[in-house]
Amino acid sequence: VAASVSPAPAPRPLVLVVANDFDPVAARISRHLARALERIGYAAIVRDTRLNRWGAAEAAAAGAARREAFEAAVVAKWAKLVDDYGVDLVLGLDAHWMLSPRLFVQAAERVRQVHSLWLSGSVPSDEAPFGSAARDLLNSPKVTHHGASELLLEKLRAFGLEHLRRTRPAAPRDYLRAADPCTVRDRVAFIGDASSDLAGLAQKLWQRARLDVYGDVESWARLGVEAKPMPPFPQLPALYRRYAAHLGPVNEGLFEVAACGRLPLVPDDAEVRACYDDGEISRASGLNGLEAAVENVLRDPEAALAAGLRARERTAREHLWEHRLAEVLA
Amino acid sequence: MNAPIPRGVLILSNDFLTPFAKTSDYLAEAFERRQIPAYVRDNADARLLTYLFSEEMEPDTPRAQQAAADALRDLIAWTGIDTVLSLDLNWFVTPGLLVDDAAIRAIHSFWFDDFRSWSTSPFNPCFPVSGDVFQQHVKHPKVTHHFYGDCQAQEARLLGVTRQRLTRLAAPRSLLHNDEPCVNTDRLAFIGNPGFRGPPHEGAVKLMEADAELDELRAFCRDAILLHPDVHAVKWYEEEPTVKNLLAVAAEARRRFPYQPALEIVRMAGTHYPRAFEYLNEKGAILDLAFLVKLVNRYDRPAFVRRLWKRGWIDVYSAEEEWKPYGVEARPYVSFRDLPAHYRMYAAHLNAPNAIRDATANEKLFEVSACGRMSINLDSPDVRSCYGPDEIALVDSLAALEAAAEKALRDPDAALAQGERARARTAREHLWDHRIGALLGADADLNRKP
Repeated sequence: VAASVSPAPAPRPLVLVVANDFDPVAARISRHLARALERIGYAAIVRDTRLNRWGAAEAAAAGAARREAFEAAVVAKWAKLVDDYGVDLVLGLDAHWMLSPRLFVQAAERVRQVHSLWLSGSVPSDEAPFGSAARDLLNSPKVTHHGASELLLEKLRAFGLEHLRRTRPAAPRDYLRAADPCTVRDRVAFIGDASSDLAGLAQKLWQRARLDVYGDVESWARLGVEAKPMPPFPQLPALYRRYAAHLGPVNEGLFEVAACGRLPLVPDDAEVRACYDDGEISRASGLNGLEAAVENVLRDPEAALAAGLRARERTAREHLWEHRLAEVLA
Repeated sequence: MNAPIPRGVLILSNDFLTPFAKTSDYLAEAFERRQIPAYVRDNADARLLTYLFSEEMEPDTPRAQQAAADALRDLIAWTGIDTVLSLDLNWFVTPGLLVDDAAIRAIHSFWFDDFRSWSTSPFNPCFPVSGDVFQQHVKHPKVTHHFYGDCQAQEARLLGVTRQRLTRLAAPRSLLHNDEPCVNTDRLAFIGNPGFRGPPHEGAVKLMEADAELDELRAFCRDAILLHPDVHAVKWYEEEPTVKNLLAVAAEARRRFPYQPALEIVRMAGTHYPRAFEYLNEKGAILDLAFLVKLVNRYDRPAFVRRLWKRGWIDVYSAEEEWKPYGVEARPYVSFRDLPAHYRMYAAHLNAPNAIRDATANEKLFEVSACGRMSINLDSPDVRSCYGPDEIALVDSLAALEAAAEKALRDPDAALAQGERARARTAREHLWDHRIGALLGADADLNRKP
């Protein structure tokens, strides 16, 4: 009987997207990644590791026996998920997939590849949550690390990571559909942390009423800036669309602003030039250059909006998450 | 009146119970098709913390509760989530967490497991609370309970849950677009476990070997329930001897009316034995007795499978160890990813409900149909309300099962045509998109492109 059964054909590969809800960016982008994966022919599920990490730290503080027992329980849960769902690939924001050596890289035979998309800009710690050496896990032959910039790749290399590739962040396709009107033309917006390299410039422009700041209200208050709170993730496109232009660093926000048809104002570097041309974005060297670029935008917001539309077209052609993931998983 | 469209939906799953967890991902896909952001999060992680914080770490449990609550609160704040869906009661993480959160407008429990188990287990919710707090949560005005079978709904109503709806299970839309060929027309398939956990009674296996009919097996179970009472039943009989009479009547009624909700049967039997019913009510044991009544159908599923296995007409997948006592050699577990292809490989599938759930229109009924394959089912009112005899096969005995299976093997093209009709019906009525449409109080715009 067994010999005569024809095997089932191969289904769509299933990708487990691993986030960490301690990190709002990871929580937000993980959903975008899953949707993009589905559009390019993969099946995808998203899961979070926040409480596993919190518990691992607590267990470690309670002693080796507790840590081992908790690790065994966490491994059993994830191993069951991998087997029951039939997970083929793991895609982690930063290294949020890194929990135990017994997961994904060493024990789970059916997981063929693990991809770390490094977005945060920080390097990993030396120790994985359950105490094993992080480098050993991160340098498993299954793992590929994707850095958003040469600078980040250099940092990861210096940490000792191998299998490095340059993969830039991107925008979710949904943002291309954003159609909210531009209602603020006398100020630009800055969305981000008070610890950003651009915080000083944002503070200066805010004091001159040239810029609105969105971010953690308390930390901006320490700089004397009355920031507005960040809206929930689904309202981000509307916020982007409210302003003709956005000042920001070169990260996923660059692509998101562009996808929403608005002008990104970013520090000039090779990464930016590789992604967008003049006429699609505004780039400038140094804080003085960026300040002048803000003034230019405020003098002619219609030109900024026209450039934003060109940036949106370019994003639709080249800078969506599905473009990146097709390359990552090729 | 239509309910407001959710701004964001949190779907709380439990990855320890993966067969149900997969439904969380199907629900998320259906919400996303309506442009409603959906976030699946796993409540098993909070449960792991209860394990970690047991024994000597127990005094620190409030910190673990706080960590679990913070994780969800942060996500809700960042994402603008205003609606929570969960399988069973996985939303009940810590007291007050979601019901007291002003941002959360509605909480929906989709029940797969039976309500009684959740109401009586000390580990539900994740962090144990008193019965009063549990009751306040399950009856909170924000909470609606969705049951896929009448018996589940009746059990919950007995426990005071009035905000409830009948919401049938369904299939994920992706299964409709599955075109793998049918390559096995000389056998049928069954994918699943024998249902009730634990080894079968030797006498039941002997009956199956002797080609006993479903009715004989149900009669065997009826007698076994009375002859081999568990410790609770022994105590009941000692304290109120008429309980045994009530159980005997109820078990016999279930044999005669195998798809009548067990609780309804117990209530009817209780009219003849009011003292016994009152005693059980005072003890809070009515659902325990109803559970025993459900066991009358315990061997429906194994007998279904075994009959065709013995004929060499069926491939069985999953739960190899659990099938062994029934003399059935099962193939390995089929992962969710591989399920659609396995459904499509065969022209026809066997489907039989898990007796413990007392609800017969299970997920497999819809999933096999969505894949354009014919399923052979017990002819229960619930199943019949979802599909007609030109879409699936409905049988009420093992002899009828054999006849339906033989027909499918003799004329697989007819079975495939039947499966295609089942697929069309599923596309029209039985996708998770339809259930969510009903939940939102709006007609599902299923033709809208994602």
